[in-house]
Amino acid sequence: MSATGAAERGITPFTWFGVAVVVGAAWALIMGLEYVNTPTFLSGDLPTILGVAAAVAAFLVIGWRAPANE
Amino acid sequence: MTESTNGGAAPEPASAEAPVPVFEKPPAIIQFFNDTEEAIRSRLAKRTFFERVFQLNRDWMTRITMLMVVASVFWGVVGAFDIFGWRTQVTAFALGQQLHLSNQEIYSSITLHGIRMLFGFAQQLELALFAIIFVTAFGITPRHKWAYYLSVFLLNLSLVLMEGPFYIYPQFNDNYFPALGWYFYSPLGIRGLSAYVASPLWYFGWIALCAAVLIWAGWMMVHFLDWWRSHRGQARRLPPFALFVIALVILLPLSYVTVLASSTWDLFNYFGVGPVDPLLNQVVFWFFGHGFVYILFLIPITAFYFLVPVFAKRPIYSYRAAVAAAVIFTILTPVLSIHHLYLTPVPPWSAWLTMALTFLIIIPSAITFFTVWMTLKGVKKSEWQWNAVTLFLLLSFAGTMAGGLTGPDNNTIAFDVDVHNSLFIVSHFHAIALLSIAAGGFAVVYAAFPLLAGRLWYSPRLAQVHFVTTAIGWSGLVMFMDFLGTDGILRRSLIFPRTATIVDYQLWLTAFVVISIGAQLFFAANLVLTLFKGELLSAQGLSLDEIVRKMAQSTHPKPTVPIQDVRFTRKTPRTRREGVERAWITIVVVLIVSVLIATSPLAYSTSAGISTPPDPPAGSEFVDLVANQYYWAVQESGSVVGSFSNLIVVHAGQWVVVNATAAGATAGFYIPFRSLPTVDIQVLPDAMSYTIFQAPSTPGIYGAPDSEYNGPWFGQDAAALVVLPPAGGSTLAAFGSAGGDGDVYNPPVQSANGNFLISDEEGLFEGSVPGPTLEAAAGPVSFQCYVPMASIGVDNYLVNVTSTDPNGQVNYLNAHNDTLPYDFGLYSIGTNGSGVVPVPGTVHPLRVGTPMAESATLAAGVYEYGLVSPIPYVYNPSGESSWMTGSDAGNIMGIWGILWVDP
Repeated sequence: MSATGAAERGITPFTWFGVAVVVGAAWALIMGLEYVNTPTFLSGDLPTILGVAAAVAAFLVIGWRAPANE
Repeated sequence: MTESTNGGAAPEPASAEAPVPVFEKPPAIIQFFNDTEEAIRSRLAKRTFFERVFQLNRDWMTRITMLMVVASVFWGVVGAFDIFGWRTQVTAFALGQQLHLSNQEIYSSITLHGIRMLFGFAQQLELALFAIIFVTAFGITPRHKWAYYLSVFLLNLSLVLMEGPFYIYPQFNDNYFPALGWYFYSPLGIRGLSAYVASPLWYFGWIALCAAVLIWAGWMMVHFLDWWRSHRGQARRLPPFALFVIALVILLPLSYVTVLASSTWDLFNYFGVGPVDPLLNQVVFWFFGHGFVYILFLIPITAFYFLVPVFAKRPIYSYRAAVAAAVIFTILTPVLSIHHLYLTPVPPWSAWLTMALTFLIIIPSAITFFTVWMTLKGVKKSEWQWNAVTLFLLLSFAGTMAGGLTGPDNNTIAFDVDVHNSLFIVSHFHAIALLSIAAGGFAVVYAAFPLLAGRLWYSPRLAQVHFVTTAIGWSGLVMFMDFLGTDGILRRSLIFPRTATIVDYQLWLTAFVVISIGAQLFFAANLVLTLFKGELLSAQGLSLDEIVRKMAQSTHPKPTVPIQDVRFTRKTPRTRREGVERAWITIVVVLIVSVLIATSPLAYSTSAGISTPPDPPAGSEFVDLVANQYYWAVQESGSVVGSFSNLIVVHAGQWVVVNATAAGATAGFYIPFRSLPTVDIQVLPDAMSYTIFQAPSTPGIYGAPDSEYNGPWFGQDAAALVVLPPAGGSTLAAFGSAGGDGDVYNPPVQSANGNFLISDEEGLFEGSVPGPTLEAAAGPVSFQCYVPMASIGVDNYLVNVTSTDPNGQVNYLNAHNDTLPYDFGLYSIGTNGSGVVPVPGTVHPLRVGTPMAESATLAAGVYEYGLVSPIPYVYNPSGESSWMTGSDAGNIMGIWGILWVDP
């Protein structure tokens, strides 16, 4: 099977699923940050939110740099 | 090296009913069942409708699967109707309009929504599809037909039993439907232990459900072992998706045996037998409650492992990673019960340990979603088709992130104090249930249903519209639940603050629920059209993967990607791919440990603060709370001494030490401050829960609704934290400018003089409990209260005459001069042991249909107005309530509030 040049310039499913990760994770992080004004946010909530954010960043970076499934 | 997409299992076409050798003739009873079934089948098969819908000319495995699909669609429709009914009432309450359903009907609708959707729809569909995909993919000839039929029969019977009884004669009455929860918090609903009693059919239903699922799991296990024995030495390795099918077969009995234990225990308690330990019972139940969510979560996980390699036309990125995910998933899922009970007085070590283990269960999900994503790396755009299957996979991928990544928030014990039992949790759950699980389920259905129907999808356009409208509806639904939750609004709450923002959010939520339900009509239409008009599916010469692609392609208007398998040759060595997986998981483990270290001190102290008495600072106020259905009995000592109903009276900035227990069902003591630490503990019978908090420094009235659903009058169950003014009094100006410290449940402040408070059909003033806080200057104070005759009905606890006669309550009032035997008036709040004391000349019997003038000359201070003692309520129309039907009783306070008199 050969693909046209135009088609190959489009967004791959890998990228689309990466976008899905970014959109879903952003939503989850924003919801956690809704509690930013609560007094226990720094000690109770923030470490978890930062952990999730760091994991998402690592997910994307490692996935982007990893060898393809070939 | 060449690999197949599904890891090497050699799929063979599913066999039709194999001829039975003479020496294996079934026993007479089985033969009787076979003959009876055949007689029914052959007669119904003559009618096209039945033949198509139930696939009556196909093998028995296909027939029973179609039966389960039809049954699951039926329960799904009924479950959608339930939630639509609930939302109509919530919307009516938001808009101050008349409610058309009784409290029992309203709360049972949300209970049955959960039960029917989770077990009748989702789980039944999961069992149906997993079983047929399993036998098809493994080339197994299914056996033990009647064991499978028994499982399906019991599953659907359980739903009918759990629905409970209703009366048709002398008048239709469905107020005995169970108003409990999809879960049930022991001892809610248990005769002798709870004022609200469910029919024992509820508990029998749970036991039937357990039996059904255990039979199904046994059936699957027998077939898997058959296959394993016959392929010993031949099978190279299981397809990745099969690992998770096996995980399901293992997790089902592990989870269901615990709910079998808790349900049986409840049933014994119902009949007065055996020990009662609500907390232990809840711990046992939640081993199931948590496990069940993960059982459903196996739908999208299995869908990803099965379908992504099929459409990517290449194997998954790392098989060993998938094995590791399946193993860790199976080990950790059954042990996470207590993270649903963080705010109960469980030992702190158990809460901490569960928090740690719950963080660890992130690992199999992290492996799965990384592996699935990496499987796609290298797939060109031109090699990938965005049909309904792959679109729903994409939605499920995003939805799992949105829902799953709020899970760590819930699991952080200190964070849980803010979000527990709020709509934030419901949003998290629905993000998982809809955007992750149901989206993954639709991917499987779009990929597998044509195999059942023997026809390709009829309309790609309908499939596309279904996807788009569903994605919009579900996303909006989850979003507005989240917005309500972050504001502190409780789950299952018909009665909520009618602020402009909350009302807007509720209306948007209803709109998205309607869109979500409407979207499924497109799917239903396509389903029916496919059965009757779809192009016949020809699988001749196609592999299983090619068949799946062909079925999925029929949901695309102009498919461009060929369905044929392509030869895949590995270029990236396994060691490199596994190295990437290891790097990713190492980072996840490091992050989990880091988060655990950072959150543990506060997590441990929060949990310990609930289970052990605090060390009170000097000058603390000591408050003993007893949660009744449906009010708080309050006993205070300290600078304020006295007994109150629903009032906690403290001084500004004072430390408040709370010891709380329950006399009926489990309750929750909740003050959702936002600029102060949230107060939130679960209060159980036979246990003591503790908390200590510093009262706001601003005098005012702070709302404290019961945060745990405890029966059909749950909405009326709310207390007020009264922060007294300094000596000489103060206005509420500072309270207003401070935003009431962010507590969304603070009753609205209104001017007292000239006010005209109208009670609604829930027996509340202006939909608020406590009623509006009335403010006046010292001196003559005058306002009116009005309980309209139109507000009186079976829903209104004020007239304790329950009758199936819609005019029963009004007839009672007519016979009693429109007067009820309850004292109504103004009371001063004593702080020296006197409790609430009537203001002379203001207290009178409650009158209905005539405005009641409340007037007195008052000094600066804090007063209570209205009905200040709970009213005993019993629902027993025409003597219908009994141990068999269930019953509803309690003590309810609704039309009361605080009168704040300024200096």
